[in-house]
Amino acid sequence: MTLSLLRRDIAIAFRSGGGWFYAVFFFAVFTALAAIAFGPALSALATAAPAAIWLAAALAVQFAAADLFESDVQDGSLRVLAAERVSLFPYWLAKAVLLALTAAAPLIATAPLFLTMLGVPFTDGISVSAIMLTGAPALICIAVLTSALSTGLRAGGLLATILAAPFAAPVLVFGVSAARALLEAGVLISPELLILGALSLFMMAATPVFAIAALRVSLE
Amino acid sequence: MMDYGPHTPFVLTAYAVSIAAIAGLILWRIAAYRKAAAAEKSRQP
Amino acid sequence: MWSRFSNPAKFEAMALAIGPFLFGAFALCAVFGLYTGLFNSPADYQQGDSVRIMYVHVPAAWMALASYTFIALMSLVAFVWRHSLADIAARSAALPGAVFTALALFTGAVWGKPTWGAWWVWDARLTSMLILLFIYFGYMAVWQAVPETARAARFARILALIGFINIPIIKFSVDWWNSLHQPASILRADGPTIDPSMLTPLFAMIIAYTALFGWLVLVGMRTMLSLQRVEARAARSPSRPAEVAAAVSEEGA
Repeated sequence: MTLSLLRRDIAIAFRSGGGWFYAVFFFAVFTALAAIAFGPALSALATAAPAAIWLAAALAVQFAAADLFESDVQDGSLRVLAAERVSLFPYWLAKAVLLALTAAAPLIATAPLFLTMLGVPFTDGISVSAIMLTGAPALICIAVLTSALSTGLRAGGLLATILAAPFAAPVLVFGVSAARALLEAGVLISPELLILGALSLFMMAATPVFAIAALRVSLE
Repeated sequence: MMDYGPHTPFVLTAYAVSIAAIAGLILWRIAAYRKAAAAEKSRQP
Repeated sequence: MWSRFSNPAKFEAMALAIGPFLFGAFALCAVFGLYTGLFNSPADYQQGDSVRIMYVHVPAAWMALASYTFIALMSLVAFVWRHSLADIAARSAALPGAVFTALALFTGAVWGKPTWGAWWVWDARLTSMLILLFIYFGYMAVWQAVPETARAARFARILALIGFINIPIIKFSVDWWNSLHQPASILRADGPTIDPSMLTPLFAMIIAYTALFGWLVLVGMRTMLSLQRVEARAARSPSRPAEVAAAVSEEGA
């Protein structure tokens, strides 16, 4: 079921004229704004770079997930799927993979470019991308969960981001620490990176059941 | 009276804000309850 | 035992009986604790008189965690047993819990400045308490954002349960990470390390805050039940539904 759902969603995503591209645009815009805000001194910029890039990524994934379930709720296909007595886990998986492919993957691919804008050397930028890749599952799972919790509500996207903040905060803390450990001490496999990976695994294990419960609630 | 040396303003601020916040909570809850009880008593639907 | 109190009438009887007792316990312990803390206890040999802030900071922090645990527990009860009053109990505990968390953060900052030189540091304990405050905000927001109360309850339960992971993190953060914040000195395997002359006002204030929480939750629940009855009555007769709906949605606080 996962694959067919995924194929359908990807086709929709590409057909609607590249709406999925907005995540990368947001990523670029936020990074540029951060660079402008932190000022021209490249050294100050490089110190702030890990924080800026992680914030940009977390927010971009959150916003990209805003209407993850909208179309399925509105046209009733979620109701049909939920009515069948099967687990909704493949549905969750399809949505998570969709978010990963359309939002997270482009972000991670373009991160080295934006990091150079923030004064980070290119090779270091690639390593930071790898660090972000380790934390990406956590951000994706949190975004899917909060999107499910705020489906069908007015200003759902904003509410979802507010709800996501407490859970994304540890990911940010360790993600930025891991990036700093790399940029300042040259250590890629730091304890912070391992904790980041653990967070991702934990989110992948713990969030689906709550997201699915939230989806079922939104149908009532 | 209360002289805690250089720490006096800090101690007093902490206690004052705590008392104010707790008093606020109590009064707010009582007011809300009174309002609801009045709405229930008034025979208007 | 739980099912006995799922009957709102039985609950109201219980609340009316226990409420004044809780408030009395709060008032007595608070007066005693405040007096002892401010006038009848020693200054710390290291921190000086700023240690007196402990008597309002620790109870607030304790209640911040205890309130959320209560909300999560009630959400679980509502989730599993569909106990109708459990949702109301959880919702009633949200504002007190948030206020206690904010108080803990504020008094902690006021304590930190003269004692350790900093209003705030981004260490594990303080950061996770701030996150707890955000979780309270999100929890209250869900009740407000979903207009149908029954549906809001179902969302709120899920959010409360997810957020519970933060509680053990806060409790153990000072042990897991080197931190500016004081490590555990009461709930320790070896027993408390605080002097008895300080433990007395501290325990008095902790009991006071806990009793206050109980009283606040009971009053809040009775308020919401009252509004529910008003709303039910309005549903039976179609005039003036807007006022009632406004009153009901206002009573999240």
